[in-house]
Amino acid sequence: MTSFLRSGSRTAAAGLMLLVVIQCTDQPVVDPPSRGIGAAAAVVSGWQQEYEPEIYVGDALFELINGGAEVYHRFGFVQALATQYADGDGRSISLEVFEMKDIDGAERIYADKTGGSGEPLQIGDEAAGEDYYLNFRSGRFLVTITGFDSQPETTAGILLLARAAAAGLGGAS
Amino acid sequence: MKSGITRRRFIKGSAAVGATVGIGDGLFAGFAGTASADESAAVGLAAVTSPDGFANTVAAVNAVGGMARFVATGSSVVINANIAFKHRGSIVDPGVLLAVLTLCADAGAKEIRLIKAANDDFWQRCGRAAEHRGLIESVNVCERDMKVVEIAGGVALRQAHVDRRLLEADHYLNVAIAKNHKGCEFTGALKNTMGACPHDPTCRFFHVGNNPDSEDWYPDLNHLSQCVADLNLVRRPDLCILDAGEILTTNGPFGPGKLAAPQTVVASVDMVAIDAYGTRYLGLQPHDVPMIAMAEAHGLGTADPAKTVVHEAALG
Repeated sequence: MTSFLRSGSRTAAAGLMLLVVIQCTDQPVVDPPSRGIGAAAAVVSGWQQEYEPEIYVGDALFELINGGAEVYHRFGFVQALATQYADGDGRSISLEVFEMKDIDGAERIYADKTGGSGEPLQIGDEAAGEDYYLNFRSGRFLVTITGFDSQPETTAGILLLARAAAAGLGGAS
Repeated sequence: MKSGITRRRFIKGSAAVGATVGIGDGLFAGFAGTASADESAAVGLAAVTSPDGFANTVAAVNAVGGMARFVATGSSVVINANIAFKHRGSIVDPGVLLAVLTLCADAGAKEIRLIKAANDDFWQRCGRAAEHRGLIESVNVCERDMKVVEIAGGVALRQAHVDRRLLEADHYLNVAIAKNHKGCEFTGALKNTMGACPHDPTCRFFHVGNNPDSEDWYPDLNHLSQCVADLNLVRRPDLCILDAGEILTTNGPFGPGKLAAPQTVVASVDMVAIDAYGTRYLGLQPHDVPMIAMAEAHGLGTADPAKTVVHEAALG
């Protein structure tokens, strides 16, 4: 397994970008979307956003995670953001952020998603890295960053984006 | 209709099969496994292994009789493919779906529709997509126009909203991926049928059952499993393809999670048999997955390996 702890030598050039809300279904979009979830879609050095972040509200979450959406709703789901980054050399990383109503709900989902496994990381309030993806929780926000391969460059990008997203969410909880 | 195959026989394909696959047009039709023509006609399930999902699919379909056996010239075909997610191991390999489209077109299908659209960059992850752009662009996506159907014989599900196109098309192909499911442990062809239904009310009823306040992800697995079995009474697929190329072994169905790479594609007309066979990729037995026995009890197929002629091949 590629170690996330060893791959984090690059410095995150984090910044905030404008969030464009895309309505995914007939469901109404929260107006305005909370600034917090958009703050996770950070600008990171060497990785370009492939498309504007998409916001999933209400039952639109089913389009993102299908039947798993039921339990998110049960634990206080507010909205989710999804977008994707590319490095120009054929590597891609997806970013998903789930905003829950409170920290308790976020903790329950995080515990289930990680199953207590993964490499503990110092990102947000709690974080775990696996060989091609990473989960972290920052307050009531859950973040999953996933690579489409397990190359070291991809893993480094995942870590870079995770730290930038955590910095963006830091003041948003 | 139950499978008429009543004897167990495993037919092992030779590496020579691979020599004819993936070279050029027309060669895929010449499946040249160790099975004779008579044996090929009797094969109830074929599992083909190699790193190439496209070639595996072509060889597996040819081993169970070829797409012309399932898709008539001038017909309409609806394909329910599990392609909506993004994470690795959670969706069908685009090479597998492309092979199915190509085989349908070669069989003379007049119109091909997908129940659901692929995710945005699905085809970008397929090296062969560019050379088949015309075919891919000719495939329509269903309008999600749902029709309420009564399910005679349903135990837990008596009525469901189902995509009208699935009900009306001349042929129905189920293209699923074998992967972990947090609740059911395994999801394959049977559960993939839920993709033809809307979340509300049908799939929500499957997931929540009579426990809307439970804190479990899937609070009533017996109910969910029975609903899946019942739903499959609506229409049996003409052919099932089960992708076991790269699959999620944890955190399914959405992921991300741990991965395995059996590098295999399975084809069968029997959705119970194909799921029963597919459980091996998750380290399970058919009896570990209740929906399989429930579907078998409905007469939708057989989970008994003694009743299926299985062809297994590795492409060289």
